[in-house]
Amino acid sequence: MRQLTALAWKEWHETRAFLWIALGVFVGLPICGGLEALYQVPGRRFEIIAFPWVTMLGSVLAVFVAVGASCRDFNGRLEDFWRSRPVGVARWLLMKYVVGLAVVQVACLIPMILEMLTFRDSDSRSIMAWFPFMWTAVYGLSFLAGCMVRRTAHAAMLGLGAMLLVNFLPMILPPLEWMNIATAQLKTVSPAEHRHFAAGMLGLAMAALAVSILGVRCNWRIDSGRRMMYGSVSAAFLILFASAGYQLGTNMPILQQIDLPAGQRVANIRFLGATGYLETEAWLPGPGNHYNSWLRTIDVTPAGIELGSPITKHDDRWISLYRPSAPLQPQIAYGLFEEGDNDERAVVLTVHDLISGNLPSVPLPLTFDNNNPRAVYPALYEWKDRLYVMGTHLITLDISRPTVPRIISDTPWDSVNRKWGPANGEDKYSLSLPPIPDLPPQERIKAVLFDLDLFDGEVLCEETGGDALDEYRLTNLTESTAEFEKVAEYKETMLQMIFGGYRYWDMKLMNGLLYASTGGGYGMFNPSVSVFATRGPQPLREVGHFAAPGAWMAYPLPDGRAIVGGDKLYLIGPPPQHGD
Amino acid sequence: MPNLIWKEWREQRWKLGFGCVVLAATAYIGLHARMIADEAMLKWVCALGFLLPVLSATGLVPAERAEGTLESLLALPVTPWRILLSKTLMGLLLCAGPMAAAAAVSVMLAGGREMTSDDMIVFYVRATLATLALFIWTTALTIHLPNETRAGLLGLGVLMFWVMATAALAFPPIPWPALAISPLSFVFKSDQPQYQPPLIGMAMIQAVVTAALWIWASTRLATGAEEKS
Repeated sequence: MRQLTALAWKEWHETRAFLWIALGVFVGLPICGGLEALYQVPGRRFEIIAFPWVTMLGSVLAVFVAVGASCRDFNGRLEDFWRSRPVGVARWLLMKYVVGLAVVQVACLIPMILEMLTFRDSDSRSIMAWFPFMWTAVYGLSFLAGCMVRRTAHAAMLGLGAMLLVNFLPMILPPLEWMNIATAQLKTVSPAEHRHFAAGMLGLAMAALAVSILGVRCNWRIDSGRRMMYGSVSAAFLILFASAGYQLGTNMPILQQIDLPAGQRVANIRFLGATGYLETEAWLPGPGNHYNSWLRTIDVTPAGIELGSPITKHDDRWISLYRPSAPLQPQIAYGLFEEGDNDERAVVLTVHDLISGNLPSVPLPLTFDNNNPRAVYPALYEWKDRLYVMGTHLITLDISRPTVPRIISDTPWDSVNRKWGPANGEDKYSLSLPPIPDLPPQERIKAVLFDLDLFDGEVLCEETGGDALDEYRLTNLTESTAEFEKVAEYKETMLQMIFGGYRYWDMKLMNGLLYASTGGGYGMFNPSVSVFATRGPQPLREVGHFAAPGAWMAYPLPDGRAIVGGDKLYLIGPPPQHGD
Repeated sequence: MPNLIWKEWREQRWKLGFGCVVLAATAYIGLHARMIADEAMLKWVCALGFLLPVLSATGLVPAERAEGTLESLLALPVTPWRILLSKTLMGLLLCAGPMAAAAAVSVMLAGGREMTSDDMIVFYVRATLATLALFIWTTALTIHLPNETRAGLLGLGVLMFWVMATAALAFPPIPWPALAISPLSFVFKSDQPQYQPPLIGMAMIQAVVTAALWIWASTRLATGAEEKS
């Protein structure tokens, strides 16, 4: 026992510098950040936000500590000295292993505990629960590299290569998904999957430790040189890159591509009824720099797509594409506009003709209180030949003559505190439905949803926080409420972010597939389109990916094909598993 | 002189093969899988290529200092600038060769798909010029260092400095001759034509800058290394 204590004291004495350095980074820098935030935002609570440092650099710390612990006593004649002592190799190595691992875990967990105590919205529990398993695996593999190579710099490079593989390979190779740290952190993951992750990481660490002890006992060594170092790090890089290609590679066939006039790029694609519209825009430099926009029709046939001539130029009529339009005459679109300078403003219904411009507005018996933070902005929804306005009144208009809407009913209604709009990641979610007897409950859901293209009657999809997707299923539908339950979530992987996924931008749900475009900023971040299956036992499973210059929006067609807009216009086929 | 070049070739050719394989494989995998748009993938490949100057410059002089062979080389009846010239020629080949291999793979695989082959070649030529200029900078600044590790760290620092400095020089825009001092100006693209440096002008300014750096480096080759640590 005294021998073990002495060995532990020696290891602690040699390793503790890593602990102080790591705490300086993982605690010191977040404290500086917290103080800076206090100074910049008066009245804000002091918060220690350590997770970016710990999650990014925890594995690097594990590599350095493991390599330091293992290589230190293999330097020159120190190894001969240790072999001459009356202590077994296994005992000596195990003590190094345990003390080093404890330093790594303590250095990473103390900052997370401080974060949990000071930062209310912290997700530190899931980090503290699952990241230690990954740090243990990385530590074990780096320890093995140190024992085999016995040169600090070379072992550190090998350890960093192993760290890259442990971190990223499970993210990009589906057969290794069960070892993915990003998945293990999700709340929707089952306990069995958590157990598999923990067992996998611990198994990796134990196997590495066993080989380390065996290697040192049998005096196995790997002669490392420049070529081996460059080769091993490059091999790790190429394996990851090839695996990323496997995950992110385009797998939807290009059926047709159409060049746009020079300098123009797609700004919007919409189908109003059976008629498709394409809005393109171009930056015009020079005095009064501005965007010009053009609108064309899209004719879809089984053979492909054809574009019509531009029907309008540099006009604000394109805004009609974002508005509800009359089912009987799709180019007629409606909007709501506030009039007056008072806080309680009158709301009018504006009528737009995509071709000829604005038509006379219709005054509504409706006001919107700009100063009431609980007031919900009126919603507008069309169904068959009726247009519904839902605000402080429930107003029904007859749009059988689309250019001249006519009010046919008006009921006072209190829309304050109604829960409409996005679910924002909640596990359960309910919507307050407006009491419109003529409108079926499924249509009422669509009427109060933020984005009509993300509900298909049963499934509702949303993006949360920009880089994550949630899928909800409708569980209960009554006359007054619709209840949803979250069934899946998908978080953009680090590799997707590295290769250009900035945030989910434009999403459409059709044929059981969710088409989600990443990017935004018109191609600044290499946008691409990802396709997810929303039905079946594994919802939000990525089944397709398409990348092309500026491909930042997709419009799926009922026959399985999709139009993708970017610097060109593409017609693409369905993902492989969903083709005919 | 041919003997010196032969020596460098024998010692460094594995790096040429290594660079060609890594860069060409990256271009092949990326363009074959079409993870991102072709132009964006070429940017990734060229960004990887910007590490070549660090790899090649640190292995030419600092590695010889660390191994103690530079003294033997300097003791030969040949002027130091000839030694540096042979090393420089080999270093330029180590930078340009892998870029040429990646360009060949890119044009064969994706030429005319999203970018024309000519555009691809111009893209790679610009990136290669930037890599060559970076190599001269790295060589000049690391020539006195005693080992590869320190030279490698300084080389990465030089690369990061020029990345940040080019970004800082570009926003807000400044007259192009000032921007052209940066070796990365070859790959800089401005939305506003008046701030886009012309290729010939950039090449001339870079020729002057790199020639001055190289002459400065040649005077430091024989002056001995910093104290070994």
